[in-house]
Amino acid sequence: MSIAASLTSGELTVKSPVRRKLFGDLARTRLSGAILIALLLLLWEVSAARGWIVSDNWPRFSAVLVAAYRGLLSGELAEILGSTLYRMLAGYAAGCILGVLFGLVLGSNRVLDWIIRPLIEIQRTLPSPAIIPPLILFLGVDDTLKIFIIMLAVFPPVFVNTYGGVRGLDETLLLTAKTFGLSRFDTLRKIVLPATLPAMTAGMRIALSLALIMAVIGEMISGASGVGNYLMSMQYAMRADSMYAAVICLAASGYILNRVFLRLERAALHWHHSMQAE
Amino acid sequence: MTEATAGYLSIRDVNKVYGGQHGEATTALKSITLEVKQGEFLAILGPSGCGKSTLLQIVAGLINSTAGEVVLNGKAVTAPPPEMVYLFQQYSKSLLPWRTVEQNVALVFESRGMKKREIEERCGEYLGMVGLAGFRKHYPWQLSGGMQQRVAIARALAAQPRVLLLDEPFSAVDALTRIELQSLVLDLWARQGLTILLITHDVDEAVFMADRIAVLSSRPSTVEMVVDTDLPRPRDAMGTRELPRFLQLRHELVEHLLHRQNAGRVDA
Repeated sequence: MSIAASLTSGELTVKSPVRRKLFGDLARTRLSGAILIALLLLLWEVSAARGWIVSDNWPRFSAVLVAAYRGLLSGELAEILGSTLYRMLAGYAAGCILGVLFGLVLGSNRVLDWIIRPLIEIQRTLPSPAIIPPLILFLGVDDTLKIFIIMLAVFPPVFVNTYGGVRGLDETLLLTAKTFGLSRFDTLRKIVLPATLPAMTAGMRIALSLALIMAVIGEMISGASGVGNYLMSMQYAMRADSMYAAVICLAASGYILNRVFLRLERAALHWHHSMQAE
Repeated sequence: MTEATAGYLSIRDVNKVYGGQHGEATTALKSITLEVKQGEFLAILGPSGCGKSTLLQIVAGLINSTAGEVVLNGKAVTAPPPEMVYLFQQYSKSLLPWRTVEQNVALVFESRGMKKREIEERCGEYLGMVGLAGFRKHYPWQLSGGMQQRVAIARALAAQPRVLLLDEPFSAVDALTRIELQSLVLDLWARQGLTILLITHDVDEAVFMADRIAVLSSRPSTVEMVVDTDLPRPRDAMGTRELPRFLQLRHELVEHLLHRQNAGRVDA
């Protein structure tokens, strides 16, 4: 019996319950996403091995894996990746701290809000890569520049979300703090900060991928280290396998960072309704 | 001192005007004057949107009045006094969802330099009073509405107030829970020797709980009349509601409110 026949007759459920159960269960797990990725990678491997695509820039996927493995083992790729991640995390941390700080202060102080926010509004509409060339003149091409531009990219989403969170705080919470005589500092620490945390982490989650993007762009435009720089060098050197290896390592790092972030967010916001859905 | 004779809590000629300057000014409260005796249970009864909550928040020192003053025990109220606590209608927004039931109550002890052990003991004590001793480690959102309001009541009592300001505290819970909570609050009021100001639009609730009822008109709110309930204490959830005096009072008040509402419609 063919599947097609069963499908057209609309009796797949009746005729092959086992098959339906197998595919149904698979579709409902995380595995189904992994299967698609695995299939695409297999297609890559086969297309290169069978010569469907003939190009020096299209190595087999297995060759890329070998290049990645060798690079990481020899320490060359590991060091390059490490320097990128180091700058990324430094810029990310700085941007998050500044975003939260400004968000809290401007969200709760109207005068400072009027004075400072117009400036921030202009800054956040600027595409971050556009200000790299002028910034090079001031900060050089070293870590300072790269960390700084990552910080500039991370700041806006963290700021906007924190600011919005503080502005959207329920009046009742603040009055509750007042009726129990909490000091301004205690109100900030015990009421405003935890109540705004879900908004903050939402901003930080967006900012995490921006940080990685800016880290790589910064390295592509200037400097002599990091994955961005390595990618450009490998492209010029026509070493496609190493180039792809770096991209894959970057993707894996991004994925792991995101997973770690979600884990931490979940732990911090276990009380929040958005975390109770699953 | 004149204040000593003037009563325990005085609301004197309080006005509240919103807007103004360039926009149209709305008068929410107009010349509200009320005297509350120590240990008294006063209900303030009025239709929705008549500015009852505004009045209570002014009494609590949470917002400022446009004119007039509130005097507690001889001192003008300009900021929330430590001996006065406000219980919010929206208990779910007043409890901190990131804190357990116990930690919510602990909020009022933390700034007093108490030891952790002592705080836990005191929290247990107050949670016991409202019948939630077994829910210390729960989060507010794991509890029913009535239980959440109990947590809020425990937290309010933990602050050891002399005056409790209740802002329609039972309006968001179901009818049976409301009756339970009313009796609980009456019991705590008698045991702790509190002075209570209750804001409500529920005639039944006002008559059942209060010593006196002040009836507010709709905007701009003024005190239309003050009546003594003259019902025996302790009040019983069933028995008191069947007394002739209860029925008569409820009848008169509902009639008054209905009549006014209809008169308003004709005017409009």
